[in-house]
Amino acid sequence: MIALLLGLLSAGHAAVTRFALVLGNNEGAPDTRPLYFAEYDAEKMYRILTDVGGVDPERATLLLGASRNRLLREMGELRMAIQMAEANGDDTMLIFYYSGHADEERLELGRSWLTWEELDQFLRYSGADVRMAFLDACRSGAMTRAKGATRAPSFIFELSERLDAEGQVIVTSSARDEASQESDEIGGGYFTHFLASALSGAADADADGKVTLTEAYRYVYDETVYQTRESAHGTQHPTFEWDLAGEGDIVLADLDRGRATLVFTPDFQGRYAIFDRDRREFVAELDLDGTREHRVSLRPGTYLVQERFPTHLLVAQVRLADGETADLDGASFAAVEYEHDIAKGAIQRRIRRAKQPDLSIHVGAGTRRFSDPEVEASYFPTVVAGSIGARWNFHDHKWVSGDLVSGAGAGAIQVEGLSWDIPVVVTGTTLGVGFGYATAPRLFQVGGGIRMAGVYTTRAFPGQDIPTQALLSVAPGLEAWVGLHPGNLAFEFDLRSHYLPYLVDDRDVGFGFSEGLLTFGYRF
Amino acid sequence: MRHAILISSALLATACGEPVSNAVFEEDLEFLAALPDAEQQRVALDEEVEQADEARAAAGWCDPETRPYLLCWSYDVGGNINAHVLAMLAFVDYVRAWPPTERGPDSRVWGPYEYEPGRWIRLDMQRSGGLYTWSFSLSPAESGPWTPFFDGDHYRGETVARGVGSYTLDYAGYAAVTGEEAAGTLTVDYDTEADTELLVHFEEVLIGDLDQPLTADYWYGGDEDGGELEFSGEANWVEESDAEELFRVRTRWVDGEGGRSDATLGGGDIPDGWDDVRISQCWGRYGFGTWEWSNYDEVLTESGDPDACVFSDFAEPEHI
Repeated sequence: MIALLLGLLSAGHAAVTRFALVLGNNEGAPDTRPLYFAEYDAEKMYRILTDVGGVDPERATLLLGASRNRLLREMGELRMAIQMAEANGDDTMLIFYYSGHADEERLELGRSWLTWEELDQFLRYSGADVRMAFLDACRSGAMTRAKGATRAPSFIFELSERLDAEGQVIVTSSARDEASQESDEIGGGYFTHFLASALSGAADADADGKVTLTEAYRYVYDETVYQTRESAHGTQHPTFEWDLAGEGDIVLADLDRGRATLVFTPDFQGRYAIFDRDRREFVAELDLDGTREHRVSLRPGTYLVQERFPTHLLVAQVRLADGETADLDGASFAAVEYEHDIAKGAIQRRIRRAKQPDLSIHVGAGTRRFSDPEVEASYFPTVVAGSIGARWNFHDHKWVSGDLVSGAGAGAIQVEGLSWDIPVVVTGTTLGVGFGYATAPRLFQVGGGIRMAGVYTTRAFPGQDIPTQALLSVAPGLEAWVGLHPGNLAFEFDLRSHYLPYLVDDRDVGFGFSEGLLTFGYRF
Repeated sequence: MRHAILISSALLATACGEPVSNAVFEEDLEFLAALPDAEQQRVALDEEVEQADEARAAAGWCDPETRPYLLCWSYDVGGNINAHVLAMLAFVDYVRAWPPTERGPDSRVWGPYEYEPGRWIRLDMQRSGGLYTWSFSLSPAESGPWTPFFDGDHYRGETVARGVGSYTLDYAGYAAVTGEEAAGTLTVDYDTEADTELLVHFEEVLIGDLDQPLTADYWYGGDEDGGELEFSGEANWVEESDAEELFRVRTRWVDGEGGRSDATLGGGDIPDGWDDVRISQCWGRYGFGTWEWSNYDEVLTESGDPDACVFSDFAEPEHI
């Protein structure tokens, strides 16, 4: 994925080709709790960069849940693309964005990783004139600390005079010893939320329609620190490392590129939040002082504009068509109590959905057979079975499942000493529940766990005056499955092995039986 | 696991249908085990002698120059008994290949099966405690009428397959359905509880190549070490005339070591006053004669070493 961003509009460059590599991974090392919004934040940044960040979607790559190998492959392709652009005489800019787990040594990509050093090497030797990295990860300050930078207060970055830049900028969501926090209130990470808000126009302090790196960082820093000041995890301080040579200002977002624009006229004063009803996300937060016009670049859609007061909200709904610029004059604001806040409800639903386990429904076919050859030969021949079931995959790698397996088969059994085979029709129904652990929900996924199943099996003897026999019992067992999950589809092989205690012919015997199923499913 | 078993047991009470069990088939097996088995109901002769016989078949079995003729005779008798019993038990083996057609708590029915074209057979079995009674019937049609021709009973011993019983084949009954020329009965009384004892009684049997009805008794007793065979009849032992002498033979053998036959003769050309003519023949491993003797020189004269006999005493038949 490649993508990049930066609206670098540098006053002396006629052609700047921007590339972006946007990476999100909810999964970290095995001992970390999966994140809820990291991949969601990456998608959000991808949209911002391709909407107003000046990155052609063809040069933007979004990687969600990618492994180290996949990332290295994309990095290699991106390097080649940049070098080709350079060969064409273009100035180039590379924007790297990452949201996910990290520690002081590396970015955690599920069970794989990329060290800060490797990331730095990639950026430095990518061939791009300007490289920018936005890292929304715990202890991502290690990236800047490693380079000798320190926590950077917003006011020190006065970059307006820089033109024709060349070099590298790294912005991290937190200092080396800090956690980067996700918020249920905003439905994402604080840093990314304010970075996206900044690029949408909230950070355009001089109202020139362009959001520079300086403006964006200042806004992100101030908002992140302010919003996390009372957090139980401690205040989160974004850091900044600057290693640029040249003059000019780096423009991260050009609001004129947006497909639609919402204009706050100078009459508006106070803190406003803009909520995208279609995507159920806050897209911008602005502090307006009532002295000048403020523009926010948005996608066409329906938005709620909220002005927040301690006791209530004033909310107006605005529809923006493609290419439309609309101001809020005349918009009808209505007072709404916080508990009736549509945006909050929508966010909470999305959060609940994010925290809910992934549900997959599957149907399958396979066989059920008893592992003891004597039992199979003398009591229960193998039957063909169909299955239907559901599995909930939780975000901490746990899963629970419930399924119904039912099958029938005609065959013959043998009793030692009898010279004839006994025709038999066997039916079997298993109603089971399972619990276990699985790898991260990627294209390939493997899981294993324990099961408990209720088993009902019958034997009928066609053509013979023998009553149908039935067995009803419970059977503990083990389960292992391996899945291929392209998109929302799931193709899996599921193997279960049960122990079935039962008293047969005055012998206290334990039957082991197994079910092997090929299943096809849909993941919601 | 213990809880699972307890829960399982509780759930079993609510299961629909009979419990899973192969008991009904095990019972089938028991009924079949109560029928005479050809492997048990046979005269088990010394295999080493039989193998030697096969190896020397081209030279002629029972060549008087090499083999005691009482031995040859005993083997012929034993072979004939086995052939007749095997022929009888072919009906049993036939139904063994099929599942019962009717099952009751203490009964089984096999058939009707079309045993041969136009000949239907069925087997009815009853069980009462340890007693099994059974009867084969024949019919020219599947629907009957049925003519019993082969029946028996069996008292189970330590196992069902080992026990005491008897069975009788009614050749006349069989012939009534099949149209073949046959008469008389063949009865076998057996005891297989420990070792094997068979008392085979032909009563006015007229079948096959027999030109006159046969009435005779044969007794066999055997264990894992050897056996005994007793039989009687008439033959022209003393060839002064065509008159046949009455004889009774008892043959004993130890597998792999050898054996001895003792015979008593009377009638025919035996002069009056000789009511105790005795003949003995011994043989070693592979059936080659080691000693023979008679107290009547007209039959044979003593030769060989009497100490080479596996059995040193003269023994008359005790069961026929």
